[in-house]
Amino acid sequence: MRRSLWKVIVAINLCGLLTTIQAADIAVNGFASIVGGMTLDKDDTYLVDPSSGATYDDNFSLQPESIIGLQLDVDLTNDVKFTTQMLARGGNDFDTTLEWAYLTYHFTPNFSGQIGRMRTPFFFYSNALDIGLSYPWIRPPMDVYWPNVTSFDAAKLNYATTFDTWDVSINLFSGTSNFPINQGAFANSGATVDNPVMAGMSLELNRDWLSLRGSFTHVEINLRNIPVSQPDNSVISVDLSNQARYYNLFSKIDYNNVLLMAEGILLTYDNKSFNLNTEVDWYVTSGYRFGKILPHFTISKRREDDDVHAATRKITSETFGVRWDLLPAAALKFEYTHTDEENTLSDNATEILSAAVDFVF
Amino acid sequence: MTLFARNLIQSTLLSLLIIGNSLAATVVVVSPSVSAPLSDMDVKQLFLGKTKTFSDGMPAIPVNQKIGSKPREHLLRNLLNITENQYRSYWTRRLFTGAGVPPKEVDSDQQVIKLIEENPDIVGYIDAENVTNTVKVVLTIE
Repeated sequence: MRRSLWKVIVAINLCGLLTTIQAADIAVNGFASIVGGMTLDKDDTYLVDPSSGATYDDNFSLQPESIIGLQLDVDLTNDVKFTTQMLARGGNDFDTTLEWAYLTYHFTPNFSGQIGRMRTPFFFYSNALDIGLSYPWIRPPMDVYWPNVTSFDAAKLNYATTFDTWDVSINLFSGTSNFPINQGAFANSGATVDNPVMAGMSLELNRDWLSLRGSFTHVEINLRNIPVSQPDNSVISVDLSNQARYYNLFSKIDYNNVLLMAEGILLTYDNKSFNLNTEVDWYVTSGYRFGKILPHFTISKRREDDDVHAATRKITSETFGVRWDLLPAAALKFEYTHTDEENTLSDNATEILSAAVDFVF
Repeated sequence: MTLFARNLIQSTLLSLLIIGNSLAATVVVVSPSVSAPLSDMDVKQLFLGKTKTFSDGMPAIPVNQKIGSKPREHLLRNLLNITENQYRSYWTRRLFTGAGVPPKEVDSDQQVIKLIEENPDIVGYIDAENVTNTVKVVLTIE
C-alpha cells in the first residue's frame, strides 16, 4: 500500500517535470538493500563500499552498506530512450546522487549507442553493483571489486546478436571520470583520482546456463593531492600521473542447482611508482540451491607486487554465506567473511559478520 | 500390479494430461495486419526482451498477462521453459542493469485483444477459447 503510494507520488512529480517531453512511456522502478554488519575484533575495520569509503567496525551498524535507489526509463521515441538512476547510499549519509543518466539510441534493433553518465564496465557485475538481488553475496568480493571509480561520463557502442543458442554482446566505450579518494588513509585528505581517458571494449557471451565475459580498458590516471609522509614526519601533497591497463575475465555456470563463478583482473601500470602496483585479483564462488535457499562459499585473493620496494601485499578472504529468496522480489542474506592481509611488515586477520535484506519495488 | 494394469493407468494418466492441456490451450495472437510468421524461438526472444521486431523488421511489442494467470503459466512453462521466479529475476537483473524494461502486464484475455486492436505492434497470448476475429493466431502453445 505504502509502496504504491510512494510510486504514485514519484510518478506525479515526474510527470510535472517532464510535461515538456512527449513521453510515450515512463517506467519507474526502485531497489533497496538494508544491510547491517560488524567486525568481530576491536580495532578492526573492513571496507564495504569503495565509492564512499565506508567501513564496518566492531560496533554493529546499518549505515555503511544500506542503499535505496530509483530508476527511471523513459521512451522518448521508438529509438531513443533515457535512463537515470538516483541513489542514496548509507556510506554517503544518504545524500542523493545521480549514478546514471544516459541516452540510448538504437541505430538498428541490434546496434545501439549510449551517451551520458553510466557504470564503468570493469566487471561482470559492474552494471548491477547496487542491485543486491542480482548476485548471491551481500556485496561482490571486495578483493576484486575494490576500485572506487564506479561510474564515468562516456560514449558507448553496443552490438548484440544471437548465434545459434548464444547471445553475444560487444561493447566499445570511452569516457572520463573524476572522483575523490575516500578509502583508508586518504579519507578527507582532498586526494582525487582524475581519469581523462578510460577507453576499452568488452565481449559477453551467454547461453542458458553459461556466461562468459572478457574486457580490456586503457586508463590514464592523474592522482592529485596525494598526502605523502616525509622522513621528518611532515606531510606533503603530491600529484602523480600514470597509465594503466586493466584486463577482466569472468565465467559463470548456473546449471540446475549448481552455481559456479570465477572472475579475475590483471592491472598493470606503465610507471612503477608510489602505491600503483601490478595487481592480480580473483575470486571463485560455488553454491548449491536447495529450493529457495542458496548456501555459497567464496575464496578471493588480492595480490599487489611493489617492484620498487620489492614488497608484496596479499589479501586472502573466505566468505561463507546463505541467500534465501523469500519472494521473487526480495532476498534475505547472511554472511561471514574471514580476511587476512599480509605484507612484509605485518599479518592481520579480520572477521566480519553481516546480514541483508535486498528488494525491488 | 500386472504389466497390463500399469500400462492402463499410465495411458489413462497420459490421456488425462492431454485433455487437461487441450482444454486450456494458450495461443499467441497478433493483429491480422501482421504478415511475418512467428516461431517458438521468435516468441521466446520477444518475451525475454532479446528482440524488438518481427522477422520482417517491423516493431513488435510483447504484452504479458498478470502473474498467476493460466496463459502466462503456459507461456513460461511450455515455451520459455523457465519458472515464474526465474522469469522475474531475469527481468529484475535486465531492468536494473539498463538492458531493458519488462513487458507491460494486463489483467485479462480481453485486454490483450483490445490492445492489439489499438496497436498492431502488440504480441500477446490468450486462452484459445477467447480468440476473436480481430486477432490472428500465430502459434499454439502445446
